[in-house]
Amino acid sequence: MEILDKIPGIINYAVVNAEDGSIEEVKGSSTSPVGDLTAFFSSAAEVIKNTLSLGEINFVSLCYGANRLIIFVHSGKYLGIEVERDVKSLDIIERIKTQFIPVKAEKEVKIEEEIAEKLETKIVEEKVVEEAKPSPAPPKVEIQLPRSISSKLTQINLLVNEFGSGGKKTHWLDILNQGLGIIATDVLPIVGIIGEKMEFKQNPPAEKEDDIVQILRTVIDFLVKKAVEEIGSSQARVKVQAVIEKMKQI
Amino acid sequence: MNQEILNKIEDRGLGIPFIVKKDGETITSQGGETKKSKFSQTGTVLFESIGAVGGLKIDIIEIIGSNQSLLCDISEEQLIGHIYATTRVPALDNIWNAIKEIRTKQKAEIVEVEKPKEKFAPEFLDQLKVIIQDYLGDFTERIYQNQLKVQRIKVDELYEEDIRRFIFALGKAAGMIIGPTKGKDLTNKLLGKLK
Repeated sequence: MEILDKIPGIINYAVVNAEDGSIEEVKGSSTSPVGDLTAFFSSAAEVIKNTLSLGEINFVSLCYGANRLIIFVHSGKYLGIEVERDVKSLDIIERIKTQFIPVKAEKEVKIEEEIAEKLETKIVEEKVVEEAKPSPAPPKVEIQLPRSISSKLTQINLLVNEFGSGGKKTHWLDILNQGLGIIATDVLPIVGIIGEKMEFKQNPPAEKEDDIVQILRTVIDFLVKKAVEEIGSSQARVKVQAVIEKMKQI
Repeated sequence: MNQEILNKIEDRGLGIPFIVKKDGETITSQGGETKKSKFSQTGTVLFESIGAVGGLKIDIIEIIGSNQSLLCDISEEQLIGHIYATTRVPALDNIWNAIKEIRTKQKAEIVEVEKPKEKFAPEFLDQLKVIIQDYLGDFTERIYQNQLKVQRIKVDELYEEDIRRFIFALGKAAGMIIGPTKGKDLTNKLLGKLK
């Protein structure tokens, strides 16, 4: 479900097995229990659907605090997508579905190519290639960050690399996620951990540049504070110094 | 009185409204009488699910089905539900207004019987902030403002339940910075201010 990491607007998401209700994946930075929410309310919706004869469930939406969780079925799984409260459920579902189309098409290409191989007829093969052409991916937004933001972002990623060296990267990514969840709530819909790096999913609004820099600065303070707690102040200082040196070379 | 409001709303052709209280009492409009026990079951399932996740104030639940949809406005003591044909989505604003109407009428009745809840002055939050400062130092302002936003705390409509929710969320967030033990300590100190 890595594709969800890159979609702007998504703060958190959970994947729940529709067969047994087990939580397969939870990702994101907010502090809400999206895994449990998705599991409990998808199952509650199934019961209510039958009780009230609602027909097939298109989606479920829950609002709490400043956020909204939208639950819908995709490929036999329940996806629980946490967004800001004022985001329209149908808009985000539509956005997600269009992102999934190219992936699905690629999969279909493979399956149909296999069939074509078995049939060993050139004509069929050509037809399959033509029919199974993946639909064009939505245009990719080029992320252009102001220097002030991009330098703080680089610093955060370098700190996570440095503190996480020696096989502790995942642990430090978790700490970064925690920090983002409590410090960076204002920018959570537009940032995320993609692969093993914190990244912006869309261009930040120009008028919020100063605020965002301030938020990222606080995230850096948070990481350093955690490092002092975990590895002691002298070790943490050495690692911070190493990051400063790397920053100079960039 | 409740039933009267619900009947009036049903007469507008927006669907069937109902109220399920936490103790199980269920009220619906005339057209919903045959489904009363189903509404009651729905309320039980939703209250149980909310209880199972705990610590989160869920205030709206929507289930959009292919034939019919359910919209629920949830408060501590009850849920106001509205079941409508999914094709009526364009009338959703009217449905929301109907729910608001039910809530307003109920509030007016409650005020007549019950003692109104104590409202806290916004300055009370400043007193909390002084305590938070001792624990979170430079992180105070950001964590404080973020939790106000995340918990949707209205500083000019401040009641004990909102403050409690805010304190628990703040203690949890603080725990991620200063560790769970100190976070709990902060929570207890802040709760002490409420007494």
